[in-house]
Amino acid sequence: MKALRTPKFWFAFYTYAVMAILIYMPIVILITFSFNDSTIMSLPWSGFTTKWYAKILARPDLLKSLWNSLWVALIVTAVSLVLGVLAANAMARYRYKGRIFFTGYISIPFVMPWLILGIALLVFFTRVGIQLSLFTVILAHISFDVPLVAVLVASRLHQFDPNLEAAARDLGCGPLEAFRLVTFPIIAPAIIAAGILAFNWSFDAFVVTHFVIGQQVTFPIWVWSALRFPKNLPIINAVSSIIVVVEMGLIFLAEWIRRRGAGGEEESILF
Amino acid sequence: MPESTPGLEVRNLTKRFGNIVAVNDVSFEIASGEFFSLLGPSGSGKTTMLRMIGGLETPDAGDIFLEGKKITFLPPEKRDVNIVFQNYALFPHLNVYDNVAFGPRRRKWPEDKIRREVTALLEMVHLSGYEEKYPRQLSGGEKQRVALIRALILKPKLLLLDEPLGALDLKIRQALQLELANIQYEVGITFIYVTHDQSEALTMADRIAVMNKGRILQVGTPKEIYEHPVNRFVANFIGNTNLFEGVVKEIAGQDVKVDVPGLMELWGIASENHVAQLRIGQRIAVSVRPEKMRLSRVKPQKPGYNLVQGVVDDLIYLGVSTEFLVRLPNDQVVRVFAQNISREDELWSITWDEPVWVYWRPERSLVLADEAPT
Repeated sequence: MKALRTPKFWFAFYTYAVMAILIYMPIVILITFSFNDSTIMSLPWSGFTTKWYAKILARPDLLKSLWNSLWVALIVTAVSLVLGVLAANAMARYRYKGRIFFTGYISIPFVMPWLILGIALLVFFTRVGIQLSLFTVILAHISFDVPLVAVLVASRLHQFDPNLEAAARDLGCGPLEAFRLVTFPIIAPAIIAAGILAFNWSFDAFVVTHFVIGQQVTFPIWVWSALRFPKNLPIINAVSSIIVVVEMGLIFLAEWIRRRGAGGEEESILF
Repeated sequence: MPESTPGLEVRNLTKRFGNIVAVNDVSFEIASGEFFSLLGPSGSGKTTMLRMIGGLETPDAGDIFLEGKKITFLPPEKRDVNIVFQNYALFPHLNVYDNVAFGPRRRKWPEDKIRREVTALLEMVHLSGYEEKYPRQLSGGEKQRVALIRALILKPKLLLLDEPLGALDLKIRQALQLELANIQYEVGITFIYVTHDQSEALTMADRIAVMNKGRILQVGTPKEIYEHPVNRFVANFIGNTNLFEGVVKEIAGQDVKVDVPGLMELWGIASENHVAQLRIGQRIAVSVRPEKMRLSRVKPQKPGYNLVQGVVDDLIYLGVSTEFLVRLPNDQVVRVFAQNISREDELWSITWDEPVWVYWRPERSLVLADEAPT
């Protein structure tokens, strides 16, 4: 091990330490205090309890918001996958005029502040005369999830050798069978991973949702409004802990699937 | 070789991509069991040609016949033709066994027959025990052999190989060249082998078609193509050659006297087809292969030979032979190969900056057309 203690090792070590503290500490604190038997989120420790978790079930407004977020995210994910895969196909396989505008659209959620996007969508919906509701939330989420899916799937399709499909045809597949037996299995991991991330983006979306939701409530909106009452804090901690764990699990799953699908040839940015 | 129905006949095939004519009115025939090579630089249309025969591209004009049956517009899965792709195109999500079994499964072969055939073919290419490996675990040469047997297992009437050894390093390439030629001999399937490597084509093919800019310039055995190239491009592309640019002075039968300005007058021969088109005063090129020329310190007493004096610019000792680069009075540098037969040879002591005579027999110089004579 001694040989590893070079400046490079220490640089990596500090980087890792900073990352761990900045990113994981708040989560650890959040989860820790969700088991604290006190409404105030501070030391000293008042004793271990799971009652905040039990109280989640006693809050119909919270459960309703979770339910709303869930089905909104599911619809958004399904629609975004279909549109996003088609868009990815166009991006990765064809050259056409106006490609630059398309690329511009695809990059919106990655470069445009959510606030601006939210305002733009709000103006759009009110101008066109669409009543603000969970429906407009779905439309808004689709608008930024399609590019997410497109980017993830396109990067996979880009590495896809078109000769693989040709080889499948050559060995006796019709066009649909070639897609089913060769193209799809190879890009499926990217599609699944994109679906999981798209679900998370929609489920977590607060800023954009806040502008276009009207009188309805999704989970992030519920958290925002519940924060005004300090007695809600432990319940928020508890439910947030559950969400953090589930979402992190999903993200790691997505990355694992994506990497496995790439046959170990694709570098991961996560782990 | 059976002369009745050709294994493959291509008639007036044309393919355009936008404004580019990738394949321009190409016709040729291949006998069953032949090892045929399409040879040309990149962009010459040879891969497009191959993809049309395989059914991956649709021709704009012309027809393709496989054993007399028209297959021009048949989709790839309906043709008795298989392809070995340039970058192997092995399915990354399937292991070696499933890759090779892919074709047979589409044809609904019984699984025990598939197992027998796959095992036998893996053994043939020395890959027994590789069944469970995935393509990413294989070396380039191993991938190549899997791609080959994946295409061979269906016993197609015709196997198309698109630069199959292009990505491999020299040693493996040379080993696989021999292996491929042996396999072709064993299985007796007609091979069309696309390559840009002239030595590969010369080594392996029964016949070669030289392509450039979408056209076939010459079809012939390696010997014919090397010894009797029909035009300047073929002469230059296949092996090394020395080209003399000049003007036709005199035509006597197939013998042509050519004036190379500022250098010499030399005699060469033109092919029967070509000589009919030659006119006095026409600009042409004369090709002389480096190994057909000879060197001498003293002026050789060889009446009728083409003869010119130059200075040794450089010489490269290659063991078997020595390559001399001789600068002629018009500043043109010609290449001359000399076998290192004896140490007492007068060539042995020739060195840099020495004046030497270069001479060769008139029939060793070929008068070439710019385009293939029709």
